[in-house]
Amino acid sequence: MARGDPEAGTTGALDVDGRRAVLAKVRDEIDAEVALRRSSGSVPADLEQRLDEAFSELSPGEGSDYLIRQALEVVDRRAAVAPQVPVASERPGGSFFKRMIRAAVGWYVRFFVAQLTSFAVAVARALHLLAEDLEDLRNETSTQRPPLADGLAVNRASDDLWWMPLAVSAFSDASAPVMCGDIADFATLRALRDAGVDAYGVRDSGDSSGTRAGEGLDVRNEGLLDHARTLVQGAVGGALLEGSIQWIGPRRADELLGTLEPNMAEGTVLMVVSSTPQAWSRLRDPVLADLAPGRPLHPETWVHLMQRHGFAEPRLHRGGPDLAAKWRTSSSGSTPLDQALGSVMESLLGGPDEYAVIAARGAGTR
Amino acid sequence: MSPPKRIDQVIPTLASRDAIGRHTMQVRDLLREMGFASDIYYANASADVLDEGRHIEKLGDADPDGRWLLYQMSIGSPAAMVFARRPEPKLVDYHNITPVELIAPWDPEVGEELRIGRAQMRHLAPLTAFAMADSAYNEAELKAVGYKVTAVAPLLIDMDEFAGRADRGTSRRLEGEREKGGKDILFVGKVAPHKAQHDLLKALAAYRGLYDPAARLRLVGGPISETYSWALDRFAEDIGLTDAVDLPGSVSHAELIAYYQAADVFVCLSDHEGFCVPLVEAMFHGLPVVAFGAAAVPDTVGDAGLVLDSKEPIRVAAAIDRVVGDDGLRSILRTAAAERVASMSLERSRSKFAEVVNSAIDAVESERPSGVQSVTYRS
Repeated sequence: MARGDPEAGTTGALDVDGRRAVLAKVRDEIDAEVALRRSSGSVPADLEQRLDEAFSELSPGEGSDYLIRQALEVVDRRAAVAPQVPVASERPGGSFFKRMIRAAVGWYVRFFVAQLTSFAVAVARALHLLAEDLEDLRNETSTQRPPLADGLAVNRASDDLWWMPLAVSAFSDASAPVMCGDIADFATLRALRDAGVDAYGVRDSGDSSGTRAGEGLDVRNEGLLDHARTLVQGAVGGALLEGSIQWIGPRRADELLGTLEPNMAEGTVLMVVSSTPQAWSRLRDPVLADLAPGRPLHPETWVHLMQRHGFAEPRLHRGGPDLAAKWRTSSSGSTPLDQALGSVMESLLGGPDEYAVIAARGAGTR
Repeated sequence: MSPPKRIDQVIPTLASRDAIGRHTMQVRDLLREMGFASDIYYANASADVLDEGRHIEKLGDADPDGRWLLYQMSIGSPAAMVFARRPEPKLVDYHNITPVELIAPWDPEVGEELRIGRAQMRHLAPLTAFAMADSAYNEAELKAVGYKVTAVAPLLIDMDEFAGRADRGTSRRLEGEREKGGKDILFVGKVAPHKAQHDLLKALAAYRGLYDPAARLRLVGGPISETYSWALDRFAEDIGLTDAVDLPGSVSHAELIAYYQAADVFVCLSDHEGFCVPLVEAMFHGLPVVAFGAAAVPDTVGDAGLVLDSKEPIRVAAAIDRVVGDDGLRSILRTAAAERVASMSLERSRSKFAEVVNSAIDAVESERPSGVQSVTYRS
C-alpha cells in the first residue's frame, strides 16, 4: 500500500483478513525502507551500536558478584529495625491513641527491637564475610579469560570463507534478517551483504574501534546469549554462529541453542562455523589460543546438541586449510618408515581445520 | 462436589489505580450478580479501597463445602501461602509475573518478590482445581508449570473509566509545545526496566535523526526502580534528548487524558507485558499503536496496531514515521482499534468471564473429566 494512496482512505472498512494483509505489507515496506537506508549509508552504521553502548554504560553490572553485592546492600539497609511504630491515622483521634499506645509499650518493643537489630547485624556481617570469601575463591579458581588487547580477537582458523557459498545458499530465502554472532571481524557480514543476504551482526565488545561506519553494516553491540534472549518468534530469518561459540564450552552452547530454538520459526536455518579442536592449538595467535576460556567442540557435538534442540537433519561440512592433505602431497616417500611417519602426521594434524554444521528448525520436535 | 455458595477472592494488594485491583472489584460484582456471595481479601490495600475488602487475616474458618477461593496472581506475596493452606477448592486468575532477570539487576528487592511469585505459581499448580489467565500467552505459562485445567478469561476493564475531561492546564501546556512543531510520541506505564523506556529513547533518537528533528517523547508513569529512573535520566542527557523527553511521573486521570489527546502515536517497546492496559486505553482514545510484539502484547493489540518483531531503533523510527504520515493506514488502525475496544467492552468481557466461571464450576464438580484438559475462549 503506497503512502498517501487515494484508495487508502477507504480501506478503514477492511475485514480482518484484509487488515492483516495490509499490516503485513506495511511491515514489509518498513523492512525494505530500513534495508535501503542502511545500504545507502543514510543511516550512520554505528548509530544503534552507539546508543546501545551509551545505555549499557549506565546499566547495572552483570555476574554473580554484582548481584551478591546488591543483595547485601538490601540486607544492610534492612538490618536496623525501627522501634518507632508509625502513628498516622485517618480516623479522628486515631493518631493520638496510637501515640499513647506506642509510649506505653515502648520499653517492651525496644527490648525486642534491640535483640532483632543485633541479630540482623550479626547475620549481615556473616553474609559479608561469606561473600568476600566467595569472591576470593572465585578469583583464585577463575577460568575467565584475561583481557585481550584489540586485534587479538581472531575468530577463525583462516581468512578463507570457504563456507560462504553454503551460508548464502542456506540463507538466500530467509524471510527475515539473518543474525550473525558473534562476529569478531566484519568479513562474514560483508560477504553476506555482498551476496544479497539481509543480515546483521552481534558483537560482544565494549569498544567501537572495529565498526565500519559508512559501510551500511548493521552491528549490535551485545552478548550473543543476551541478544538471543531478546528475540521473539520469527524475528530472525536464520542464525549463523561463529566466533566466540568456539570458546563458550558445552554448557553455554547447549543454553544458546535452547534459547534460540523457541524463537526460530519452523524451517529456519541454523549454521555453526568453527575451527576443529586440533586446529585450535595451531591458531595463528598463540596468546589467544592460551587465554581463551574454552576450546572448540567437535563437530559431532554440535550435531548432537542441534538434534537435542529440535534442529532436524544436521549436515556437516569440512573445509579450510588442511595441513594433513598438504603433507600427503609433499611427502613422496614410500618406505615403511615414510608410511608410519605419514600415519602419525595425519593423526596429529587431523583433517581440514574448520567445519560448518547446518540444520533447519524442525516442526514440533521438542 | 456441590457448586459453591460463595466465591471469595484473595489478592496480594488491592489498589484503585491498578488494573488488577479494578479487575478484582469488577469480578466481585459479577460473581454477586451470578448469585454467589463474594468478598475480597487482601494482604495490603491502598487507603481509598480499604473498605472494598477485608484483610486476609479475616478469611475466617474453613468452609470447603460452601466456599471456593479465587486467587489473583501477579507477584510474590504472603497472601499466596495463606491461600495455599486453605482447604477450600482453589481457582487462580493469572495476570503474569514479570521475568526476574528483567528486574533483578536493577532492583533486587522487586526481583526477589518476582522470584518468590514464580515459586508460588509452581507451588499452587497441583493445589489448583481450575486456572484462568487474561491472555493466551499467560495461559501457556500456566500450562508450562503444570496447571492442568486452564482457560482464557478476559480482564474486566470498564472503558467508561478511560473517558472524561482532560485537565485544562495540561492540555494547554501540551498544545503550546505542539505549536512549536514535531510529533508527540507517548508511552504510559511504570518507569521500569522491563517496560524498556530506554529503547523508546533510542527510537526517539533515530526518529529525530531520520524523520522529525523536533519530535518529543512523553513517558507517563511513576518509577518502580530508582536505579533505572536515574539511568534513564542520564541516558537522555548523554544522547542529548533531555529537552525532547517529558517524564511527568504518575499523573491524575484528567492529566492522563490530556496526554492521550495530545499525542500522535502510542509506542510500546516493553520486553514483557502480561496484558498492558494502556495499549487498550490508547486504542480507546483513537491513537495509532506501534508495539514490539513481546509476551502478551500481540494478544492485546490483535490487528489493531502495528506490531513489530524487532525493536531496532531505525525500524521503530520507520514504523512511527509510517503510522503518523500515512492517512490510509491511520484510518485502518482507527477502525480496527474501535472494533478491538468494542470486543473488550465490559459487557462482553463480563459475559465471557461468567462463561469461564461456569465452566470452572462444571470442571471442578465433575472432578476434571478425562479428555477435557483445556477450555480456551477467544475473542
